[in-house]
Amino acid sequence: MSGGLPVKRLIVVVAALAAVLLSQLTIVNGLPLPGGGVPDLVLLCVVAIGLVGGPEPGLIAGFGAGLALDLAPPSTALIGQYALVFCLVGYVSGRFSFTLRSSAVAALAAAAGAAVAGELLVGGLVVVLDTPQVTLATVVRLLPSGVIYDVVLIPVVLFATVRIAVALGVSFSPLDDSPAFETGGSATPMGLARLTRLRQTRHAPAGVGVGGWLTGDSERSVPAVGAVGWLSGPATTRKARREQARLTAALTGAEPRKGAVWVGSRPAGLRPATGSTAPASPSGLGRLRPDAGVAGSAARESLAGAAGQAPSSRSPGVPKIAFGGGGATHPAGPAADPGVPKIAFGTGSLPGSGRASGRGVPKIAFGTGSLPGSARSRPNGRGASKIAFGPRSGGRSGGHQATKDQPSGPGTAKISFGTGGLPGSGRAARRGVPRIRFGRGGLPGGGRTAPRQTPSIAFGSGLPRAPRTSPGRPSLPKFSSGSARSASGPSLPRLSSGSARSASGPWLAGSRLRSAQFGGGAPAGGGRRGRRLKAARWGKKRRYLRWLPFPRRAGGRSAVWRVSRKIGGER
Amino acid sequence: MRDTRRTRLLLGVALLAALALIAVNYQNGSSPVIRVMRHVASSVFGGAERIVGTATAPIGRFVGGGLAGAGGGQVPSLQRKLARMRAELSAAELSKHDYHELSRLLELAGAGRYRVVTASVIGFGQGYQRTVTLNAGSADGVRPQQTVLDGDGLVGQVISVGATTCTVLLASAASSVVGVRLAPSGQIGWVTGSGSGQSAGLFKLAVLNPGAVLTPGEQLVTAASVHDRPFVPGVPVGQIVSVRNGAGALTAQALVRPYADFAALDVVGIVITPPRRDPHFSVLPPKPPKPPARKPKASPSPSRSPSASPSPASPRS
Repeated sequence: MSGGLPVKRLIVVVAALAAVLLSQLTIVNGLPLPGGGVPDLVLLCVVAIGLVGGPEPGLIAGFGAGLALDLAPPSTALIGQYALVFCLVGYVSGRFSFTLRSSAVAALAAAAGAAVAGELLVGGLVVVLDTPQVTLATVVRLLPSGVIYDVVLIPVVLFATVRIAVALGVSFSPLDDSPAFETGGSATPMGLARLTRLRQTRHAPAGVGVGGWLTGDSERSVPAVGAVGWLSGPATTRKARREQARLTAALTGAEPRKGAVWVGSRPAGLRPATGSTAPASPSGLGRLRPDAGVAGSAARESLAGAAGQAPSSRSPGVPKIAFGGGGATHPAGPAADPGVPKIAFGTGSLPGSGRASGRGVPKIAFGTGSLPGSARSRPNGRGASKIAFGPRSGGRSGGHQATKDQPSGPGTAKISFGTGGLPGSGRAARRGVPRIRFGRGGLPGGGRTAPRQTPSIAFGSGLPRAPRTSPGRPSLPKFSSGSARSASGPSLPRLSSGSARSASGPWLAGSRLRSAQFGGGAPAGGGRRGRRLKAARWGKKRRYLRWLPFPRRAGGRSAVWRVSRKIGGER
Repeated sequence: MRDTRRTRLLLGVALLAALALIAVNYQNGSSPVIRVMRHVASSVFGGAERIVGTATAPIGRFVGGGLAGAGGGQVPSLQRKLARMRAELSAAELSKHDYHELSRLLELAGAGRYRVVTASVIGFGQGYQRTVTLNAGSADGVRPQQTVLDGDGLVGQVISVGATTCTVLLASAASSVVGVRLAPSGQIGWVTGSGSGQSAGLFKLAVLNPGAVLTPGEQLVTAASVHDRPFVPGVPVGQIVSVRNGAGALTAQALVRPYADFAALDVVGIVITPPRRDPHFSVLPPKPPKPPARKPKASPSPSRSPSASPSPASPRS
C-alpha cells in the first residue's frame, strides 16, 4: 500500500472503519455480555489494517478511527485519547506486518498481542486521564472480559481484512516486503526508482507491459526486487533491513558493490519475465481479482495437490475459492485447479497453497505471500503433464511432508512444498538436476560436498544447514545463495535444458541470467567460483515456531547464498 | 509498507496531535476548538447513529431482551407509555408524600407540567464510559441537564445535545451524583454510580445525617434540584440493599440497587419542563398552561428554596 495508495483502497478502508465504528457504538457496546466487557471492534480493525497495510496505513487508520471514537456522540472521553492509543497500535501492528507474509500463526499472535496492548493502553490512559469518570475498579472489572473477546475475535477480523485486501489487489508476497522499496534509506539504489514505478503500475490491467525485464513477468504482481530481503527472511531490525536493501541494490545492478556478489540463482524476486506465464492470467481468476497479482494460481495447484495428485481432477473449472490468487492462472494452475483449495486466501499466489497442498493441506494458508516459490512452481504448471503430483513432496526433506520419494526427486518435477513459501522449494524443483540432493534430510555431508565440486546445493531440509555451515566454512567462499548454476551464469542454458523436464523448466527459462540486472553480479560470482569456497550458510536458523504445523517463515530456508567477504559464516 | 522515515515522522505528528488535543481538552473541556469538534461530530456521527440505530434496533432488542421471548411491535410503544406514566407517577407521589406539606406551606399549588419526550437508545459509550445516545435532540426540545428516566426509574441526565441526538450520562457512571431523598424518612443524601467488586452495578448512597438510620428496602427518589436541573424530584432511583457500618463517618452510607436496568436500556423518557413558565412560579400558583404536551400532568413545583431562586430569566424558554 505504500506506493501510490489507490483511491479505491482508501475508500474501502474508510467505509469499513465507519461501518465498524457505527456498529460498535450502536450495537456492540450495548451488548450485555458476560463479564461486562465488550470487544472493541474498532481496535481490532485498526490492528488488522496495520498488519495488512503496514505501519503507515495502520497509524493513519488508527488515528482517524480513534479520533472518531473520541468524538462520536456518546463519548465523553477526552478528545485524543483513543486517537493516541489507536495510532500507536496501528503503527506497531504495521511493524509486524511481515508476520502475515510468513506465518499465519505468527500473524495471529502479533494481532492478538497488538489488540491486547491496545486494550491495556486504553485502560491505563482512561484511568489516568478520566479519573472522575472512570475508576480503576471499573477498568479492572471490565478489562479482562474485553480482552478475551478481542482475542477471540481477532482471527475473524484479520481473516476478513486479508480477504478484502486481497480482493483489492494487495499482494502478500514476501517479495513485496522488500526493503528495496524503502525510501529514504541510504541503501536505496537509484535503479529502484524505476522498479518502484513499475511496481506501482502493477495494478494496471493485465497485458500492460511493464517494461524492462519485468515485462515478461507473467504475474501482474511482480514480486520484483524484494528477493534479497525475502530470501533472508523478513528483516526484523532496521539494520538488517538496510543491509538487505544494500544487497538488493547490488543485486539489481543499481549499485554494484565490491563486497557483495550474488552467486547462484537469481533471487526469486528478480525472476525475469517468462512470457509464457503472463498470458495465462486471463483465466477465470482474473475475474475474481482483476487487480490481483499472482497469488491465486498457486492455490490452484495446491488444490490439485489436495486432490490427491489426480491430474484427472484438473478440470478447467475454476477453483471455487481462490482468493488472492490473482491472475496467476498458470495454465498449469488451472490444471491443478480441480482440487479446489479449501481456503487459500490471503495472499494471492499463495505459495503456501502450493505448499499446503503438498502437505497435509492446511485449510487455511494465508498470510504467505505469493512466494516466489509458488510462482516458480507454477511455471511447472506449464508442462502440466510434467508435474508429478505424487512425487512432489520430494523437494524438501525438511518439509513437513514426509518426503515421499526423495530419491525420485531427480526424475520428477521436484516441487518441494512443505515449507512456507520457501523459495528453496520452488527452486529445488527447477533445479531438479542431479546435482541437487533433496530430501536427504540431514545430509550435511552431501550438501557440503556438492558445493565444493560445483556450487550445487543441497536443499531440502533445513536440517542440513547447520551441519553444513561448520564444515563448509573453512573452504567455501562465502556465499549465500542458491544454486550453483547461478554462479555459472553462462551455464544456465544448459541446465535449463537438462533440467527442463521438471517444473523448473519454465523457471529456468525465465531465469536466464543474461538479464541485465544480474549482469554485474553473475560474472563476479563466476569468478569467485574458482576461489575456495569458504562458507555457505543458510539463513540463520529460526527455531521458533518450528514446532508449529504451519508454514514456516519464508526466509527460513534460503536457496540463494550471498557471497560476500564479510558475510562469511553469518547470515 | 515499510517503516520509513516518513512513517516515523507521521507517527510523531499523529502522537503530537493526539497529545495536544488531550491537553487542550483536559485543561478546558469547553474550549472553542473542542466544542466545534464535538458539535460537528455529533451532527455527523449522531445522524449516522440515528440511522443505523433505527435499522439495528431490533437486533439489539433481540439480543438484549429478546431471549426472554419478549417481542412484538407493541413493546416499544408500551415502554414509551410506561416511561411517561412513570414520570407522572413520580410527580403524583411527590405531591402526596414529601412535598405535600411543603407545597401547602409555601402555597405552591402550582401545577408544574412535565412534558416527557420519549426516545430510544441508539448508541452506547465506548470503553468504560457510561453514556448513551438518544435519538432526540434540540429539535425535540431536549436541553442539557434534563432528567432521563425509563419505566423503572432514573436513568441519568442529558449532558450534551445535538440537533437530533443527545448524550446521556447514566446514573451508574462514576462521575454521576444524584441528590436523593429517602422515601419514608425524608433523609437527604446523594448516590453515586459505580460500585466495584461485589457491589458492581450498585449505587453508593451517602446520607447527610450521620445519625440517620438506614434500613435495607428503603426506597430512594430524586430530590429536587434547583430549577429541576438536572433532576426533577420524585423519580425513583432504587432501594437500599445493604447498609455500611459507618461509625465515625461523616455520612451514613449504604448500597443501593437501582431500579433501572442499565444493561438493557431501550426506550426512555426525557423530562422536559414547560417551555413557558412563570418566573414567579415558585411562589404563585401558575395559570394552567395550555397543554401543548401530549400528556400534561399536574405536579407541584419542586423548588426547594423558592425565595432563593426567583430565576427571573428562565433559562428554559
